Amino acid sequence: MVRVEHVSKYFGDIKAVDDLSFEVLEGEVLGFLGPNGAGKTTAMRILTCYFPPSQGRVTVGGFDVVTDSDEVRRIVGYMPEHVPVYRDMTVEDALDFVAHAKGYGPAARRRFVDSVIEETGLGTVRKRLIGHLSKGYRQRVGLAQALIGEPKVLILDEPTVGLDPRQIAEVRQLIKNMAGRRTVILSTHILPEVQMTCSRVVIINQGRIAASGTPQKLTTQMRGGTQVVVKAIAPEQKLREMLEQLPQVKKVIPRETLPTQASDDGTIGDRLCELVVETSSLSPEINTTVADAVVRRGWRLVELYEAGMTLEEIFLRVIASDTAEASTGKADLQEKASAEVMKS
Amino acid sequence: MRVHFYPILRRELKSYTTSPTVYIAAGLFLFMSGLLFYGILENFSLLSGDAQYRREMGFEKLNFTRHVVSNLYWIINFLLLFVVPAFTMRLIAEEKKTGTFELLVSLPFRDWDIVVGKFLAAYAVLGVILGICGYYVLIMMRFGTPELPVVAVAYLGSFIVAAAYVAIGLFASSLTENQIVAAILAFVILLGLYLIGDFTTPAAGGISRVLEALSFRYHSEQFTHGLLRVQDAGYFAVVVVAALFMTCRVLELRRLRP
Repeated sequence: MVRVEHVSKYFGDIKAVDDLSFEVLEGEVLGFLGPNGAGKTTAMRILTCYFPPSQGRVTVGGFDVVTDSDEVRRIVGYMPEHVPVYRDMTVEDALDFVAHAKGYGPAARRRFVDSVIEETGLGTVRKRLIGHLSKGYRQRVGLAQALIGEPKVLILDEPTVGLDPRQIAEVRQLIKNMAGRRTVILSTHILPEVQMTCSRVVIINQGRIAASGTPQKLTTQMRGGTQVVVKAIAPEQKLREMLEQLPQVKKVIPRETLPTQASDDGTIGDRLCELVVETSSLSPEINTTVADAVVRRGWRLVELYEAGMTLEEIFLRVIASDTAEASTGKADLQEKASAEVMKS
Repeated sequence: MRVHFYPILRRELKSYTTSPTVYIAAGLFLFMSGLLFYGILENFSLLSGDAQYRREMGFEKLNFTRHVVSNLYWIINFLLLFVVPAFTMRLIAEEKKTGTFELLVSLPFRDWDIVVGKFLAAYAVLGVILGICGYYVLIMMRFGTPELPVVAVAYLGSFIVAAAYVAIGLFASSLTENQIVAAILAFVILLGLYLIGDFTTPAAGGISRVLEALSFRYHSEQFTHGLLRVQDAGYFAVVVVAALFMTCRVLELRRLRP
């Protein structure tokens, strides 16, 4: 549905997007992830024909964004960052304008406006001026504007920024409901959002793709081993030594030790300690191994769970390694250059 | 070429009807032009009743067309210089400021559609206001005998002049995100083009004649005298097209800048 091939975008000397290639299939929800200033908005603006790419080719629904931009814009619904809305118009009028711009006649416009208002829950405010609405409602108006005319492709730039938790949940649900029916590309730097709504993730950093895949695939790819959190009432030192001697365990990281309630006779009992056990490779059986070992020694196991690596950690790791790579690359180049200078 | 400016025109007109700036500027314009029109009429009636005063002022013979009609439309054209920027300042500057410009260009419009739609909307509003000025004609006909063809040409001239002013106001609005800056810029450009020919003297030739031929004042005064010439109308047409074209180019600058 959306195909991006070797796209770069320069602003003067600044390279905002650098050789970006990816594809989004019909009905897919793609999460566009990256730190601020990574080139997410630039990439989205290219997709929505705001400006053409400096290099490379982008097609949306088979239409080229440079040569067939009218067609592209008719099948794309776009919600830019900061949600621009016409504050001096009523909700109805603003939506009608968007439908009118997309070339629909009065009857079709009325139908689209009604259906979109229903879908985004704007019924109670449809005749109010947008400038008088709360931020949450304005955000919904922005989404409604993007949804007008049943666009095949929906491009949302940070759709949940500035909303309260309930509204965020609503917007995410709305996006989730569209999966399968519409192709959605959404950018965000909020990671749970991606985990909850997206079927595929592209992490971009400094204008380049740093990693991509399903959230699950990225998680297993990046972490390499399993992490298990153990909470037990036991002498901390002994517990640690015991766990370290288990097969497969790479290292044990102490997290926290809390005093338990002093027993009635005044003696201080064992403490509640929390440790993280990391294995060297993926090992699903580590849970039972640890549990058995703790119980066999007569200690009391309080809690045991697998700590999946969050997308957050993946993100930070990817960004860190990517940035480091880039800077070493630069250093290499500089060395080469200085070596050549020396030669001559 | 496909034209698709109607949605823009419609939206702009709707938002003009709810804009307080428009009502204030229109009210001010009608108040000022009415006041000055009253002054012109009063002056004329004083002159016509007092031969002594007439001689002192150097007007042996009184001419209603020259003293009332020409003066009135000169005043209207002059006041438009101040009023038009107030109407045009928000056209593009506001969209850039609030970010709706990004929404606008993500819709299937060409840059021309945006520029022409906005131009026509502002021009239509100005047309309504100039239309209200039609009652000056009725007043003149009630209290005097104006030469109607001269009135028609002078009145038409104001519409033509307004088109050029609006186009330049739109251009100024495209250059900035700040409405006040847009208004001041429009006013400076308009006043500059209005006065550019005033440095010339009748005896001077060469460059000063060229400057005169480029000035709003020179061409618009032909209309107020009842002269409808192709070169004057053509001059304003060129100004309109040039300003709209430059506005399109400015909108295109987004392709080079983030």
